[in-house]
Amino acid sequence: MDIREIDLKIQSYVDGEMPPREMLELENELKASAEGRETMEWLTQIKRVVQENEPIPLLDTPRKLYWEAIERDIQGSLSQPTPAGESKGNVFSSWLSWLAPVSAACLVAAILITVTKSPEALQQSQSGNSIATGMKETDASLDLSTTYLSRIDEAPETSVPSSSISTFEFTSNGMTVVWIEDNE
Amino acid sequence: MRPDYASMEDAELVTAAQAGDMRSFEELVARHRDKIFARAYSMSRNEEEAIDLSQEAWVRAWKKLGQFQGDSSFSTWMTRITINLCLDYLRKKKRRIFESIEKMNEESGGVERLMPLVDENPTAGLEKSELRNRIDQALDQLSEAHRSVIVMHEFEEMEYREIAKKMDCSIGTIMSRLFYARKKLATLLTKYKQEEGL
Repeated sequence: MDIREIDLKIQSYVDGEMPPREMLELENELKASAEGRETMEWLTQIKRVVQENEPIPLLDTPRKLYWEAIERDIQGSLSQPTPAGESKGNVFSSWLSWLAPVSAACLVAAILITVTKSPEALQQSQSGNSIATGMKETDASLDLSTTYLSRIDEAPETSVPSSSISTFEFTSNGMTVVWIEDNE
Repeated sequence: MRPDYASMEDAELVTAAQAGDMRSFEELVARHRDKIFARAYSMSRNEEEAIDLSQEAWVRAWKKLGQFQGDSSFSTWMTRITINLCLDYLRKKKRRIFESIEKMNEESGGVERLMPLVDENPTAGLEKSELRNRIDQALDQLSEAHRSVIVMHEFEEMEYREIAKKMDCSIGTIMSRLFYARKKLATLLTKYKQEEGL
């Protein structure tokens, strides 16, 4: 069924959505159109019948039961001030995500300071006397591997006590931590 | 002393609920729950879904209560929330269901093409309760898009423009959907009348 333009015009007339200027035009048009008047008739009828006879279904759920479900949802939404994903585990993860790189940066800075002041340490590391420190694995999820710093190119300015240097590569997040231990 | 909630006006209950009084809100729910459920049912045509949707509408209303300024009645405001929720729900549901038949109906006019012309007065001689049953039965036969337009226009008396905004389509589409929906309703009511030999 195709809707004719006149059908929609008649409908907007029936619904009171037609501008007054156009209403007069349509009324004149309908005088000459029996089909248009018929459309006007059934549209008016169905609109009135439906509006006056809206089916009202009954809600059988007891009042108390119905309210309790609403109250539970309201209480639930009020007792969740922390957005989803902010559990303790995630708090630890977010802490680790910024603290670990900062710690690594501090260690790198410390090693640079120490090494530039320690010719003996350089000698020891070059001769393979460095000892990897016994960093204990506290998190099984971290994949640790230990390597030795084999060489430091720049000569230190001052002498400091010998130390051992270790690096730890966290392959899971692509991070490297350098560990220095004073052996004296 | 506990306030006598039953004797309070809607506006007083709303003010108390806005201040956090849950018992006032409970009274509002008790007063309007039938209408809200009826509206959710008229949109979804499924009792269980209508109960869930109406309860969700109340929860949403509690959260938005601070925004209610009293420009319309609480009942009207609450009904608008329910309609919005139902439309969202139907949109999501529609995405999950292949609705080519509905689309075809919308474009071509659907079953009414195959049916006889509408009776000028398809409801003559019917009792009110029987008439309501038939309208209910006919509403069940409409597509969600057509039914939603009928509910918003005929029952909520919303204008074309407002319906178009809610359904996210043009006024022309709403007018055409409304015309098809009315035609289909009239045709179905005529058919029921003929079947019963009235």
